Amino acid sequence: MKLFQVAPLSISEDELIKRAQSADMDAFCLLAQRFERRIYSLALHFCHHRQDAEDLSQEVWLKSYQALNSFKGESSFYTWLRKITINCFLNHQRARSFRWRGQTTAVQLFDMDSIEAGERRESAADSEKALLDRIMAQKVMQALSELTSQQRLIFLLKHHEEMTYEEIAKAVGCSTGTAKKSVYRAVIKLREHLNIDVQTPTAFHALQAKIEIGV
Amino acid sequence: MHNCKANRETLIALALNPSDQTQSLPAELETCATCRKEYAALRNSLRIAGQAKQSALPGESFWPGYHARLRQRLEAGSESQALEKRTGLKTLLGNLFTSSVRVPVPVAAGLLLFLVGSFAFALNSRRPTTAPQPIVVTKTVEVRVPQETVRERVVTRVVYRERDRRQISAAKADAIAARRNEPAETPFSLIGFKPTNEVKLTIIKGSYRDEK
Repeated sequence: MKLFQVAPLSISEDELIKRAQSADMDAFCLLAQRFERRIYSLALHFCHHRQDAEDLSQEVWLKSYQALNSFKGESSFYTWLRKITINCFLNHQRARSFRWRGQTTAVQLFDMDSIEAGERRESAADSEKALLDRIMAQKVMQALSELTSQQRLIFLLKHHEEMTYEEIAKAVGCSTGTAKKSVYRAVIKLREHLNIDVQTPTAFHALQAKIEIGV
Repeated sequence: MHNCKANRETLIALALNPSDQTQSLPAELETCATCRKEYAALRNSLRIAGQAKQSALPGESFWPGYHARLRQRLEAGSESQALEKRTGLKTLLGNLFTSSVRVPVPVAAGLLLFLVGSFAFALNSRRPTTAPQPIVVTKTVEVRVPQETVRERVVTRVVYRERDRRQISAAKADAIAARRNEPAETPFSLIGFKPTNEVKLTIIKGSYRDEK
């Protein structure tokens, strides 16, 4: 099986798009490589499970490959791709086809740690930092999992994608007020779950203290 | 009176976009320690959520496998697309018979009733089939038509009409009017009458039947 090549930066995005539009799968794979982490991250925060996130993000790429000829360059490629991503997420939300684990089981992020333990264990300090980051990420996802799918998507679009409330409302198909309320609700959930002690200078130290006392 | 809870939405909006110069920093942040603490906590929560975006991502060893699986799915997708193009009609028919549409129960019941009613109506109004029509062949035939001679005939008819009562009364009225129009006779008068001493009486016998 042919794997992805490392995307050469010399090839412009427009060139890759043109080649991909003429059914060049290699060019499309190089294009996907440029945005795959952003899409995967969104999917992971949306469905909280590694396998579901992979399925969902790959579905986004499949859909965009099939619809690539409809891209006319009126907006940036990522804006166009984000529209497809949002539609895919909304379809999943409606169909509930992905396995929803957010409410019932813990967010699964640690299973990949065991796989990647070797590469992450460079030094004790790095390892500890990485572990703390993981715990924080898990807490964030746990907080987001208590929101509805729409609220979660709206928060991700606002916080991760830095879209305006008007853009979000248009993309998701809700009112601006609903978008604002969803974001506020998500922030309050995060605040509750992270329960940051503001007396300590950074969240890192706050978490470190909590781990030490076994919270 | 200051209410920290009522101020929370403003603090969240500010924490989401601290670089926004249009939002003025509420005065409570300067004066209220609780609000200041809450704002700092919100900012930290959002900062950690932002960091989680990166830290939740799998390590570098994950991506080659991801690429391989994506490529496999893309190839499978394009193959299935090509297959779909080849068997487009088959798929269309398949979808036609297998796809389902969600219809509300009242609408479905209404449609069902309409179909049953129209079927029953069609059965009742069905008429026996008529005999096949004979084949009509058009042929031109010359036929002489005898011309009839015109004969003139004078018919006289006498009509007797009874005179109407109105006409009669009208005639009578005419007669009376005519009589009236005649010159009137001089009225009898005793002017110039001279009584005489002698009266001559002449009796004529036999003027009556029973006269004796």
